[in-house]
Amino acid sequence: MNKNPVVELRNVTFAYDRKIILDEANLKVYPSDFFSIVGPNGSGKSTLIKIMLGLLKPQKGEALLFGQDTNCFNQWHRLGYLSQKATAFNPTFPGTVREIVGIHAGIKNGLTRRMTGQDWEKVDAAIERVGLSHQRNSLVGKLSGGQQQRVFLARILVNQPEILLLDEPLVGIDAEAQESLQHLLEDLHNSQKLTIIMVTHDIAYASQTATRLVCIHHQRIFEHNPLDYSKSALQERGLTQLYHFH
Amino acid sequence: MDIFQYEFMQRALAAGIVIGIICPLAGIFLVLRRLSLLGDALSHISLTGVAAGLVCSINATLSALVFALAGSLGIEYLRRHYTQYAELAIALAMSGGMGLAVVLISLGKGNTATVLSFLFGSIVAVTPVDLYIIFAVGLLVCVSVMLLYRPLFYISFDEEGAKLAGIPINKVNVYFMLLTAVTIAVSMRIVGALLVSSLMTIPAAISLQLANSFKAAVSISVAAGLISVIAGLILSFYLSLAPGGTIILFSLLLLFLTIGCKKATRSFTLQGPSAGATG
Ligand SMILES: Nc1ncnc2c1ncn2[C@@H]1O[C@H](COP(=O)(O)OP(=O)(O)OP(=O)(O)O)[C@@H](O)[C@H]1O
Ligand SMILES: [Mg+2]
Repeated sequence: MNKNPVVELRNVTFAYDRKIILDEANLKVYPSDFFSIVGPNGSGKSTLIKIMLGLLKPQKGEALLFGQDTNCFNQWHRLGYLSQKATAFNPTFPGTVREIVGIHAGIKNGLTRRMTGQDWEKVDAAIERVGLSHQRNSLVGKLSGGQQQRVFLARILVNQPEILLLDEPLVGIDAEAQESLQHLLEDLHNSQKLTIIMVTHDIAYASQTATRLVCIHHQRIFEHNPLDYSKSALQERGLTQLYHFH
Repeated sequence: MDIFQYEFMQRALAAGIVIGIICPLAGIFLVLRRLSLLGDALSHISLTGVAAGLVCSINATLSALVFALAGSLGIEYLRRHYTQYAELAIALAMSGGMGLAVVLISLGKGNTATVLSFLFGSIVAVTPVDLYIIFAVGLLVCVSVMLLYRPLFYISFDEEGAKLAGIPINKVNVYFMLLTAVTIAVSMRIVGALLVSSLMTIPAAISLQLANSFKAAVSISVAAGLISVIAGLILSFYLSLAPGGTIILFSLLLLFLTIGCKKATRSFTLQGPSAGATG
């Protein structure tokens, strides 16, 4: 593969105060990768995603997006990020689903620009894709947690980004919606060649759909072959090898 | 109506309309970001400005403006450099501002009546110069909020998301702080330093009870602010009450009415019309 990586970490060391999360970690994500990140609670998966996005600055090393250092990167519309804490907003916030998805539409065309009819069409299409059309004029604070999660998914899809960074996107979503969202992600990956970076605890799903699988352990990033962790393989060996609990 | 015969009353009402619009307009964003205390801090700093203006005999509204601007930058600096103590920065500014104001007032030769008019608000005190300043600030705030509607909306809903949408959140935050500061500095003239932040928060509280969208929340809080200011000014004229207190009490009345009506309609829809009538 001679394509340039779209997301890259070079010798990244990151610590919260004294607690080291990553130590000299390296990582490259290439276009159209379905890149899944697994690991036990507190191992640093969310932190890793935030470093990729430049939300957290590593003490050593660099984080690059499309080959550019995150400190000077400015093409944010090419990325869509779904935070693990997305639904932790102020529940009395008076915004409708359409408004919340709408604030993200057309951000690349200037922040003071008014919404056009075309923007609203995109907004409605994104809401439709996550199956919330009938609730598009409801207040987001009044939706259930899973529905809110889908609003945030719609918000990042509205600009047709090239990379999705999803931190546990399917948590709290009911089985039916989960299946349809999984299909949505696979479709985006297969037919639109989106790069997807996804934190998940669902290793069986990751092994089925992901093209790459990494695990964070002891401040390092280990890459595995997703096929080694299919359901049958897991039954035989359990998680020990993946989580490095040797 | 004979109330409009008086030039001072015309000025007070003109200024009141502007204030009734811009206070809730800035206030709704403050409330949604849980920064209501900031309004109090800035009003105390503005009061220091007034006291300084009286001591140095320059236009008090103008010196309040300057102090509020400087104060807001100071708070923003503290907030950014001591992120864990963001609340403390506001509290420091609040007590520091009040302390300095009291000292300056006790120092000054300025008469107590003027100081009181800034504390509690006044309808006779709006000079033509004040009116120009208020109009200029009103125009600035309205145009800014209109242009920055999307960034302000985005930041108050989800600051991290706003950053990743490419919004320069630090710049927008500083600019918004400055807007809040000038809003408070000019609104003090009529509402008074002690109550100006209530005119930012109570209309927002009313709108959060009723709004079914963000747009509606903004419109409702502006409407509630305008109604309170106009009604408060007229009442204070006829009953010779301090305008600030009258305005705030009127807005509180609106808030209680809103909550009451909402409760009533809820039990009405829950129990059905017949049960509601007997209970
Ligand atoms: N803001 C912070 N300040 C200090 N320590 C933090 C902070 N955020 C996270 N940590 C610590 O860093 C470690 C990694 O956190 P992180 O949220 O990245 O874990 P995670 O792998 O996403 O976990 P989970 O599976 O529970 O989401 C945790 O042990 C946590 O205690
Ligand atoms: Mg996490």
